[in-house]
Amino acid sequence: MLHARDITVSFDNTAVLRGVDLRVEPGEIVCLLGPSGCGKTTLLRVIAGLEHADSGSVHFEDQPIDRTPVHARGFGLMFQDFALFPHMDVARNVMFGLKMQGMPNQQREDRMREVLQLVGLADFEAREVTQLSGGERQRVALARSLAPNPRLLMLDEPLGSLDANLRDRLVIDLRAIIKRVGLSAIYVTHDQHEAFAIADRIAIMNAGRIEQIGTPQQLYRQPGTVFVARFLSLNNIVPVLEVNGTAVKTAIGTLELSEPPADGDGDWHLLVHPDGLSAARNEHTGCLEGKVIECVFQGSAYRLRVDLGDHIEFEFDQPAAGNHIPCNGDTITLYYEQSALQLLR
Amino acid sequence: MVTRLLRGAGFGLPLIPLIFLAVFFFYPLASIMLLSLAPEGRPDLSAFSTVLGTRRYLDTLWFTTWQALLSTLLTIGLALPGAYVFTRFRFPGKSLLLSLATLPFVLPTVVVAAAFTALVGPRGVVNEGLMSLLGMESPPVQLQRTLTLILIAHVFYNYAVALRMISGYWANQSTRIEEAARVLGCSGWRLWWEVRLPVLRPAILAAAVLVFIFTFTSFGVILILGGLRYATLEVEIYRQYNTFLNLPVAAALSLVQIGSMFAMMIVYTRLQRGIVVDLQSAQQVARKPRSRWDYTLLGANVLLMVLLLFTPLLALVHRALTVGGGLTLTHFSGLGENPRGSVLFVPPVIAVQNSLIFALVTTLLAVSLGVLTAYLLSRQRGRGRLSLTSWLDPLFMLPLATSAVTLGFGFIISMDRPPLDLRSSRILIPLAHTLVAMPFVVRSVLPALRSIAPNVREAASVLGAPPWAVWRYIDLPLISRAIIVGATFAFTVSMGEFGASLFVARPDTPTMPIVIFRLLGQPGIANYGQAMAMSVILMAVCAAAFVLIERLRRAGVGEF
Repeated sequence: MLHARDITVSFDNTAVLRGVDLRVEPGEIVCLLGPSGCGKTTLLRVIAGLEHADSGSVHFEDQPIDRTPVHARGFGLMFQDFALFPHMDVARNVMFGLKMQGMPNQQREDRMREVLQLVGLADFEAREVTQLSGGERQRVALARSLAPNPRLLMLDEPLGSLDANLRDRLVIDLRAIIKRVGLSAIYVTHDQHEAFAIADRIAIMNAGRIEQIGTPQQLYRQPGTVFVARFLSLNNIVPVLEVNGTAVKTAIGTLELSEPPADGDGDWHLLVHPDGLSAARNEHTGCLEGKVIECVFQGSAYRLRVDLGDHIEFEFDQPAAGNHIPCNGDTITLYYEQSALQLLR
Repeated sequence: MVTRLLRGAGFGLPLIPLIFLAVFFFYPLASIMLLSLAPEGRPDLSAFSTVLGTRRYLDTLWFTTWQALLSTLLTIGLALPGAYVFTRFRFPGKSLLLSLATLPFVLPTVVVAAAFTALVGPRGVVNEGLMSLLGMESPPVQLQRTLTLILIAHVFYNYAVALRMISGYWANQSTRIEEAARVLGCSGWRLWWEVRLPVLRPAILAAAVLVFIFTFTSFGVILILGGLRYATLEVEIYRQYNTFLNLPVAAALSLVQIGSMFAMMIVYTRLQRGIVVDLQSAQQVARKPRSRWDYTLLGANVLLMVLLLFTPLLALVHRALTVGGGLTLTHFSGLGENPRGSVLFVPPVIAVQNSLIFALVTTLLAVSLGVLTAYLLSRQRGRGRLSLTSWLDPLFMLPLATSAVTLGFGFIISMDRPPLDLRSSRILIPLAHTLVAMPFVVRSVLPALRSIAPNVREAASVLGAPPWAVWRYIDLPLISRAIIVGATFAFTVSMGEFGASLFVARPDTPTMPIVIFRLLGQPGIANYGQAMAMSVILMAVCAAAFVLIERLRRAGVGEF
């Protein structure tokens, strides 16, 4: 439905986007996830028409829209600071887009009430936006973007300025509302948990490129690059010295993959997924020796940090129930499953 | 013992500015009230009924308001696109241009009037050029003594004020607001109407009220450029006093003036309070112009600024340095001669000396009193005393809100008899100038003073510094730059002050603006040329002071 092709943008000779390609299918929520400065907001602004790409083009329903000005694209955009019009009350904020469409007064008001109802602010129409709480502003901003029935909804860190508790609740509400309306949406965030909670697919961005795109489960299970793994807090990574068929030689020993890498040589790293690591002997394919350097109680589990020598440290959670928990300084054996091994670029 | 004395002096010192204000501001003001409401010692409202019942005065009041409104609309209308260009675009020479555009603000009114005479007057650069080019007999551009010229001069003065206020506010507004509107389908003129103007409303209103205040009290520009046809309240007060010697009517007009000024100042401070800067939002980032439309807009505005702001000043310099097309210093050397004793009682160059002496005395007085005032205002921040400060602060700003003509008139009618007979004293001029200049010193020094953390002074005391040493080694170094800015302002204000000086200067001790005014009112090429020459000297002094202020202000001194 939306296809951004090979988008390149630079500001003052600094490349911000270097050939980004992104597709959004009807009814799908795609999340752009990445650290600040990775270009995710710029990509959003290019799609909205607020920035111009140096090269590449944006297609919507197979039509190029690069020459369509912002106001004629019919997209919705929710800003991080909400950008509510300070000189208008809630109702006028929500009706603004409808007014621009030239919708008659009565219909405008009906639609405004309908949308406010949808976001759970039914009695707020006469309130001044300056008197709203953060969560309420966020809902007004959402209502304002939804009111004109946008063909695509874009959200730029819409929960970024709210506190963590509120965020957990609102992100779920947000997904429910978007899905109920049946919109396609692009959601920008730097928060992994937010992305996992809201997205159908996630595109992880780094330094102006999309590193990997896939469902949250795919990304978490099979990260493709060191950057993606580290960004998702999967830090058990060792540099690979040599790949020989399925045998991977590293500083902590040679580990056996289930199948050889598809594309031959290069600079590989090996991820040992923490979910497939355990200090308890059970079904496993291999083991490693290490010394416990940190053991933090986290409620249902202990987080263990283990020194494997050669400046390599692994971290994993050991369920608290029914296990022997080692102390700092103990030398232990780590058991891993073959499915936990993943080659990274 | 010595310590106690010092401490006693410390408490007494801040009272001096209060006493000064009482004697040299409120006493003249009271005299004006007395003269207008009870000229013979008993209540008599005949002066007021004259003012309110005579067509001439009502017309004056109407014209004052009307020209101020027109000037305000014109200034804001021109400054708004300028503000857009300055907020949105990045271009070479931008900050220099903005800085230079502020220069008119420190230029004396007589210099501005002289500059416009030099540009579009009958003997001006434009007319001479057109006459020689087209072989005409008489000057084709007849702007002298027209409302148009008055309005242009007012725009010249206030353009940069409006531009700075609006673009400064705009730069701090979130860009997202406008982007949100565009995404929602808003574009073109609707963007201005639905979003930009409402968002800028507080800044536009505040700028408009300020420009209105400035033009409502316009004196020198109207007196010199307007001729006898046009009179604002200020000009009428001067004429009633100077030409008709009708003191009660002049006093009644002054009271009307004072009343309207205070009302407008209240409105202005209210509006100022509404200007809250949202520091959290994404602020405007100026970018390079891109489209042809961007370049057209930028070019048109820069051209307007250059035409409006610099051509009069260049014309002034040109006129001062040429006679009949040839480069000469005749006009400057002419300043040293005594011209037949008719217009002036002394050679014009004496006025330079007078002005310098008065300006130095003013600077000294304004800085001492201003610094003391700043201490008075900064110390009263203890518990329960807050109300006193909030009351005192505007009190010391009052002289700024009072027109110079009213001040001068008040001086003349109150200090010509015991208990305070200073009529024959030269000190009246620097005293009047000090009243106008002091608020600038206070505004410069107060923020610097408030930024000194109390524990820094306490640390010095604990380390053994007696009170004088704390002041000398802690306070003084920290506020010295602010004092320099305030002093420079005071000096510049005094050099260019015209309205009050016209009342209190004695014929044999004229200041530079007064000499320029008199020379401009005389026929003859020599008088004209000397007026231009004198204006150039005055402009150079003010421009130098302005450069100094701008430099220090960029270093973050003062709140303006």
